[in-house]
Amino acid sequence: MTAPSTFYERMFFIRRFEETLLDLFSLGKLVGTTHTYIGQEANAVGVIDHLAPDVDTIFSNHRCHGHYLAFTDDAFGLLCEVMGKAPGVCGGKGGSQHLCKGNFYSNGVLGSIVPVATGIALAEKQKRTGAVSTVFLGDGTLGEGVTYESLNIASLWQLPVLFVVENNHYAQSTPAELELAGSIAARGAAFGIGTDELDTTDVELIHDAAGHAVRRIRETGSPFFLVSDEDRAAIEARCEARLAETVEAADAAPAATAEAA
Amino acid sequence: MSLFGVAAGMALRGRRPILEIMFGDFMALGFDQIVNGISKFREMYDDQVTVPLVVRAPMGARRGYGPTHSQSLEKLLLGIPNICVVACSECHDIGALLTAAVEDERPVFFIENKLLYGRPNRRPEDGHIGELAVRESGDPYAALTFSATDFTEGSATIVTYGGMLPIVLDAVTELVLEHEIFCEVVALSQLVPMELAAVLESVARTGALVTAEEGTLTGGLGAEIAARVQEAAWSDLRAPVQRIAARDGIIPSARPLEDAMLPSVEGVVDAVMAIEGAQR
Amino acid sequence: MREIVLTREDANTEFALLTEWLVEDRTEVSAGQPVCVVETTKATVEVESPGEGTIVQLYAEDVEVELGKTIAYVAETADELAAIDAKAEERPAPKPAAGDRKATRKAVELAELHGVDLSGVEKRGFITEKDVEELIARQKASATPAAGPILAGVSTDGVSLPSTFDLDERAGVLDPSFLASLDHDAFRALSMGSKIAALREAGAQIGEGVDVGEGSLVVASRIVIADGVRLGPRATIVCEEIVAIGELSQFGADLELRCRRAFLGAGIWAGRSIRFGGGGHRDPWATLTVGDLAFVGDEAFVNVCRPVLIGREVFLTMRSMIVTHNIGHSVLEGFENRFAPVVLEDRSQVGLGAVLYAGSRIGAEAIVASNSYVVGEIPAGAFAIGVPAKATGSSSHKLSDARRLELARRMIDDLHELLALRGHAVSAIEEGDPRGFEIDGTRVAFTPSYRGGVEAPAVILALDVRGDVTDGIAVVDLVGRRVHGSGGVVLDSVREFCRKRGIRLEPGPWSYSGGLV
Repeated sequence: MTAPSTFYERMFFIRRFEETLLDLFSLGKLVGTTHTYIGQEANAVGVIDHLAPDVDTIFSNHRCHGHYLAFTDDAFGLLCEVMGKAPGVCGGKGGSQHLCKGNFYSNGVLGSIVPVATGIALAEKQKRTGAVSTVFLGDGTLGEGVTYESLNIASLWQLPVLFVVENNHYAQSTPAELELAGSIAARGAAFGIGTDELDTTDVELIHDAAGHAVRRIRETGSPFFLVSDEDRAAIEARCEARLAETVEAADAAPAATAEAA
Repeated sequence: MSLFGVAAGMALRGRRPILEIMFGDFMALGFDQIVNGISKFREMYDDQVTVPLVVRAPMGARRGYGPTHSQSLEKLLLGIPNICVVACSECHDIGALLTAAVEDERPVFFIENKLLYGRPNRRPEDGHIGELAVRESGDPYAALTFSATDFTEGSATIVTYGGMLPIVLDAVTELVLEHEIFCEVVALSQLVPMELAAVLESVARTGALVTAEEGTLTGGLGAEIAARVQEAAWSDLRAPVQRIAARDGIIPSARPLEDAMLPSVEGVVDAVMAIEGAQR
Repeated sequence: MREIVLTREDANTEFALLTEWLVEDRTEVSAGQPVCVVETTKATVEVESPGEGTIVQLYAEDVEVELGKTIAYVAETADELAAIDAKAEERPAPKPAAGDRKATRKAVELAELHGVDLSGVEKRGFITEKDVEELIARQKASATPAAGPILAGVSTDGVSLPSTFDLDERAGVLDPSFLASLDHDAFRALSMGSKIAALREAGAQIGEGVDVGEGSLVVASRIVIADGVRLGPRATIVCEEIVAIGELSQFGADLELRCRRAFLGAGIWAGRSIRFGGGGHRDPWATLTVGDLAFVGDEAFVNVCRPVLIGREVFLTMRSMIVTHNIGHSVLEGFENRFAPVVLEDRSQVGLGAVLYAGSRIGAEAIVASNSYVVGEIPAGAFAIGVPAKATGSSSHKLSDARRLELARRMIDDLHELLALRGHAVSAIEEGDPRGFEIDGTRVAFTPSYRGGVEAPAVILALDVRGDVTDGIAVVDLVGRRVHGSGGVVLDSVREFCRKRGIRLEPGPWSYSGGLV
């Protein structure tokens, strides 16, 4: 059991990392755009603590920095990637939304990440690795039809997928009440998938619920649908030294160039 | 259609899935997954992964299946980087092509014309298929070059693939028997990335090019082939490139209406005759 | 009576292979009994009898059957069996093995015209007009007798020897005493009539309308000159064994023809100051053949000490030169000392001032450009140029049907313009099919395909002749190069107009005695 203080440190680091990104964005040091995870840190830390980075897989979305840091702890590789630097985890080719390291993947077009995570689970099941394939989707992703096809397949074929719906109440900038009908949790249940719904940003409560979900997937091999309700609660700050060091190193790193690729 | 993504996930994790989609028309349901996932993962993740999957896509008309089950949509894949599109024909070694596709580290879209299922696989014997001499390139996705004169002369090169091959071969035979006009035919199997060495070699002998495909004309493979051949071999060409394709419209179900929409033997013959007439 | 029908099981299959009958024809079968095995691309299935009775099979084994067809009947009674037999004549014939046609339309037409069997073409792939032409030439060559010794083994492939080559060996043999006593200068001084009379008297075979020019000498052991041959003034023909000239051939002034044997064809047109002969012309191998309808330009020089074979419709133009040996220092000192035949295959063309060295062979329809120097072989159909001449391309280019049609159509305009410029009264060109004009009450017109239905008198130019040619109509087949029907001065004029465009027409030989052009 990871100590609550460690949870806090991880959450705080994610928070400050992203605030730093926003500062760097203002200074014109980032390429493209960046989607922050501010306010949702507890979810990444609480869920991912149950996953083994060398066995389990994560497919994340456009808002993936929190998941990435919680799973890999590779702040330098991520920052370089976002800043378009050669040591970036994808050599500067992916940028903020398209990360890959070890068993971690993310993609910027949602919906289709869900079937890919389902396919990963099918492959891992065939290979009998015992891996859990976790996919982080949001309330907006529920507007994409392939999500439901994937739920159907995962349930029908009994695949070890953990669907984590991070309901932050906005599909990019559209409020959920304008884009989503019915119950989120009932969507998972409708396919006969074990479902749990949280209404908290308490990392310990999230950690407990995710632990239950992951254990159940490992035991039964069947999917699980975990709905987490996020709000925009503020979390306090520390860890400035580590961040400052990371920014300095990334800033000094060589830019990604076509020649290097 | 989430199965594209499922196959991609499997391929990311070291499997080599083959996805059979029954009608190639249904590929439209997977385009987000093809364009934003399957084709992207390898390069955007800086070569940390490969996506070795095969999509078997039956395409083509002439069976009366109507507008949504008769298309030849492979041209929509043209211009998507990092994928491979392979079309088999009744004269290719289809088993070898499929094996090569499965062994390929790239995502491969394997285009099968529906008419192939009811026709024999006619392979070259002693360097010939029927009266035509045939050469096969050594590539894993081989190009076949046919000649009515054992590669000594030719009035035009007709480049085609898949289900159009038997139609083009019929046209070539008619041109020989009725007009003593001798053409070469290049039957490609690798459509994307486009590999035109066999076409350029043939055009160097014949000096003229006709493209023949079953998909609609505008923005088709013929357009891309014409552009590339005139870039690479302008001085070899003595007449404008002719494109044969389906008309830009739907493919009706009723046989006469369907026939009116699709490229025909007469169309290919007329295109070659037009080149002959336009000789400078 | 029940029918056994091959049903269609899947959308992709049109035919099935009837691989095996499991029961004998006209034997008793029971309901549900498997009677035959059928193979589609997807499966092999046994077909069961739908009922009890006598089976009547409609197809043999190993036959492709279209799905949906009845392959057998099962007759329950004798009456039904009789009814089936009554219908026997309506039985579908087994699908014939796909009779793959491999000869082109032109090849088939040419083979029919010459009555040759296409199975004589040994070739993988399509049989083309060219293959048939080669077959005809081969058969003709192998059928040509006695070519061997006289031609010293020179291959006649691609060369149509003149008809005079094949004369009866007694034709035109002269009395040796006449030859022994002949005074050349005195002979030259004789009048034309006296020369011909003297030669005929001595045994020469000389046809009607032969014109032997003033100051000419003709001496040979055998002399055969056909009707209408014209020799210009001051000709000298001295041949040790034979001189034979085909009908209507004509030679300009100052011809010199000296060799052992000269076989000249019909319809040859030769200019002035032409010389066949030179060193070695009395050699045993000194044979000259010139094919029908050949053209020899002014001041051409042909040295004949080895066989020189000039084919049909060859153009040997002005001042061109053929040598069959060189002259120089000793071969024992390493200098070349070459004696070799020269062959010009049919329809080849030699440009102005070109030189063909001993051993040259010009392939059929090849062209040697002016002032070129040929050593060795020029392939058939090649265009060769340079010193030494090298093949750089084709002597002709392939014509599309559309282009040929356009060129042929234009001939009417050209002929119309020529006649008008010559001062003849011609009507305006009338559009339509046929398209043409009228001159002296005769219609001259072009149609792509002549199918009859033209009012006489008319001369019709066509690319293709299918209709009957009736009285008062002459049809010129421009592609087949043949005149159908007959006509007067207008036809002759059209023929001459065509000849000047390289279109030499059958039946020939023919000479233009004057007319409108």
